[in-house]
Amino acid sequence: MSGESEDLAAGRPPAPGSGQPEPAPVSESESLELEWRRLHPLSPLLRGGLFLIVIAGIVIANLRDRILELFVSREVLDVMGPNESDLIDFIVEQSLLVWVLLALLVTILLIVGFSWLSWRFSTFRITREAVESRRGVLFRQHRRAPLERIQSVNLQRSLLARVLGLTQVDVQTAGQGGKVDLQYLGHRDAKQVREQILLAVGATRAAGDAATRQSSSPANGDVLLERTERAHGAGVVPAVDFSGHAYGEMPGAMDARLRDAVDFDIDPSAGESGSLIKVPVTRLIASILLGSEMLTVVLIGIAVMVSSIWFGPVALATALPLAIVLVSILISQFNKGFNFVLSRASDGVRVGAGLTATTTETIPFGRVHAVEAIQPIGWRPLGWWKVRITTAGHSAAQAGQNKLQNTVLPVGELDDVLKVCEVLLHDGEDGFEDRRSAMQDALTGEGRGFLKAGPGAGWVLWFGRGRAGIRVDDVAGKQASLRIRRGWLTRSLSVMPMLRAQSVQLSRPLMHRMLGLATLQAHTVLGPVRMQMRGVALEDARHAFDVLAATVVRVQRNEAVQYGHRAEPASHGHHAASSAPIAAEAPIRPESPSAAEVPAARTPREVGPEEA
Amino acid sequence: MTETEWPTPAETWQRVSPRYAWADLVINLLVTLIAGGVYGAIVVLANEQPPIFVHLIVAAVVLFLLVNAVFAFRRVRALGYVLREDDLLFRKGIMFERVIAVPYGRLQLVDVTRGPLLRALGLATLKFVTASAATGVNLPGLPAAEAEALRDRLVELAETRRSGL
Repeated sequence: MSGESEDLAAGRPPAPGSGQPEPAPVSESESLELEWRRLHPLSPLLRGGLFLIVIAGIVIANLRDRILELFVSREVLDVMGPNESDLIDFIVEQSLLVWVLLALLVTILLIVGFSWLSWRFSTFRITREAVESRRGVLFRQHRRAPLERIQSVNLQRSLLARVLGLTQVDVQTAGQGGKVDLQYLGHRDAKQVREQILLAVGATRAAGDAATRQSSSPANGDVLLERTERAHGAGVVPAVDFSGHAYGEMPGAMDARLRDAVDFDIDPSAGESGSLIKVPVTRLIASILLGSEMLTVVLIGIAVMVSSIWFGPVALATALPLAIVLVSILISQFNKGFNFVLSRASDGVRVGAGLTATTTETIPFGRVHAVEAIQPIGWRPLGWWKVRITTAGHSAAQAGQNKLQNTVLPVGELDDVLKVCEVLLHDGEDGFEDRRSAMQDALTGEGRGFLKAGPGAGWVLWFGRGRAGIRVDDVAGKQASLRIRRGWLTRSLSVMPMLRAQSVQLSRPLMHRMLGLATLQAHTVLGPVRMQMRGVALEDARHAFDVLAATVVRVQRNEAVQYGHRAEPASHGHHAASSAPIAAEAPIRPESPSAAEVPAARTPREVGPEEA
Repeated sequence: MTETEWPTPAETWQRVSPRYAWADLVINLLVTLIAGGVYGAIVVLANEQPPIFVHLIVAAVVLFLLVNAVFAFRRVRALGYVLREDDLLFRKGIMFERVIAVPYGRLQLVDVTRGPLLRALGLATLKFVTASAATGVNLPGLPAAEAEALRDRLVELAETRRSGL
C-alpha cells in the first residue's frame, strides 16, 4: 500500500511501451458502462433552478392580489391600499387572454423542449480508462478524466437538490480545471456511480504494471469487470445515519426519499469497524468561538471601539466591510463543519459535512501529498487540532462554496488527529503504536528525534524557535516521511510522504547567512501545506539536505520499479535485474543515522524488488 | 564560492558559460544609459539647478549598477548544476544562495528559450518544470548546443525514471 503507481504528471509524453495509450475511441464491448448513460430527468429543472425561481417570482408578484383574494376578503385589501391596475385586469379588458395564454403555452413548451434536448445530450460513461461526459446541443463539450489522474470523487448536494433527491457527482483530477461533473443523478444512483469510479480507480492501481494496464489485456479487464459487477451486485447503497448505521430498505417511497435527504453517506463498514471520526456540534461551535478568526473579529471590534472614541462614528463605517467578511467566514465555518464525519471507506478516505448543502469527498488512498495539523492558541487548553491536506486536484477547486477546502478535520482531539493521520498516510500497515507515540510526541511533546533550530535562530524564528524542528521519519523504509513542526501562538505539525516530494531545497537568505543558518524546504504540489524549516544550523542543514535528497530518490525509484514505470524494453519480470546496477551505484545513501533521523529500528517491511 | 565541497566536490559542478555575464553587463549598461538620459533631460529641461535629491538618486543608481557589474562574473560563477545518478542538483546565488535537488522522475517539462540578447551571445536558457510551482529552476547562459543536448539528456532520464505525481 505504498501509494499509487499512476503516471499522473500532466504534459509528459508517455514512454514507449508503458503508460497510458492514446485516448483511442473505446469500443462498446470494452467500456464498463456499456452505453453512454443519461443523467436524472429532473436535472435540467435543478440546473435551471434559478431561472425558474425568477419566473415564479414575476408571476407571483403580478398575481399577488389575486392570490390574497382567495384567502382574504376584498374589504381588508382595500383597507391595505388602493388596488393598482394589475396586469390581469388589463389583459381581460383588452380581450387578449387567448393570445397571452397561447404565448405562455409556447414559452413553456420551448423551455420544456430545450430542457429535454439538453438532458438528451448530457451523457456520461465510465470506461476502463476514464470517466467521460458529454453535454451541450449547439456547443458540444466532451470531458474526459483518465482514471490514473482522478484525485477525488465528491458528492455534492445543494438544499434544493436534497429536497428533490438529486446529487451531483464531481470527479476531481490533477491539474487546473480538470473536472468532470455529473449533475445531477438520483442520490442512490450517484452513490453507485461513485463506487464504480472508485473501484475502477482502485483496479487500475492494483493492476499497476504497465503491460497489463493497457486496455487490450484480457486479464486486467476481467478483474475490472468482475469488480464492477460486484459493485452493481451490491445494488443500492442504503442511506446511513450519523453513527454510521445503515438504514434498512424503506417500505414506502416517501420514507426512502426522506432517508436519502438526510443520508450521511458514511461507508457502513466504517461504522462497524469504528474507524469513524465525528465532530459534535457543541465542539464545533466552541472551536469557532475560540479560533483565530474569532480572535481577529474581537480584536477588530476592540480597535473600532477605541478608535471611535477619537474619530467618532466614522471609524465604525470603515470596519463594517471587514466585519461582514469575517462574520461570513465564521458562518461558513459552521456550515461546512456541521455534522462533519470522516470515515475510512473500502476505497479511500471519505469526508462529509454540511448543514444546508452537503458535500461528501472521497479521496482514494495514496493521493495525499501533505498533511498538516494546526492548533490556534485558543484551542491549546482544550487540546484541539485542525487537520488540512494538500492533494493534487484541490488547488484548482478552492473557490467553490461547498468544498471542504482541504480540511479533513475541522476540529478534533489529539486522538482524532492521530487516527486521521494514520488513515491518510499509512493505511493498513502494522507498527501503528510506534507511529502513534512518535506522532503524539511530535504534536504536543518536546519533539524527540527532531533536528532543532540552530544557535542564533531566534533572530529569524523569534518565539517559534523552541518548537521548530525537522525530522525524516523511517528513513530506510518505504514509508519515509518528512515532518516539520513550527509555531509559537499557532502550533503546527506538517507531514509529507517522501514519495510525493517534487524537489528539495536548501537556501541561505542574507539573514540566515550572517547567522550561519540555512532554510530547508521540500516542494510539493500547490496546496495549503508548506514544508519549510527555517533557522537550521548550516552543517546540520547540509547533512539533512543530503539525507532528504537521497531518501526522495530512493523511495521514488523504488516505486517506479515496483510498478514497472521504468521504460526498460525487457519484460516486466526483469525489472529488478535491470535496475540493480543503479541501486548499487546510488551516490548517497542514508545509512548512517544522524541528528536529522532516528535510528530506524522498525518492523521490517516489504522491500522493493531491487532491495530484496 | 569557497564552500563548494558540499554537496558535491567543487570540480563536479558544471558551470554555465562565463559569456552569460556579458548579457548581464549589457543590461546593466542599458539601464545606466537610460538613467543618464533621464538625468540629462532633467538638467536640460529644468533650466535651473535641479534639487539635491536628484543628484543623490543618480549617484545611488550608478553605485548600485557598478557593484552589480562587479558581481556579475561572480554571480555567473555561482550558477551550477550536476547530473547525479538519480537527480539533478542545481545551485545559484551569492547573497541568496539556493541549492535544489530535483529527482529526474519529477521533471515534467524541459524548455529551451533564447532571447535576442542571449541569441547574440550564442547562449540559451534551460527551464525545468515540476508539479510544484516552487521548484522554479532556471539555468541561464548555457551554450545553445549544450542546452539542447542537456535537454535531450534530461528528457531521456525523466522518461526512464518517471513515477506518479
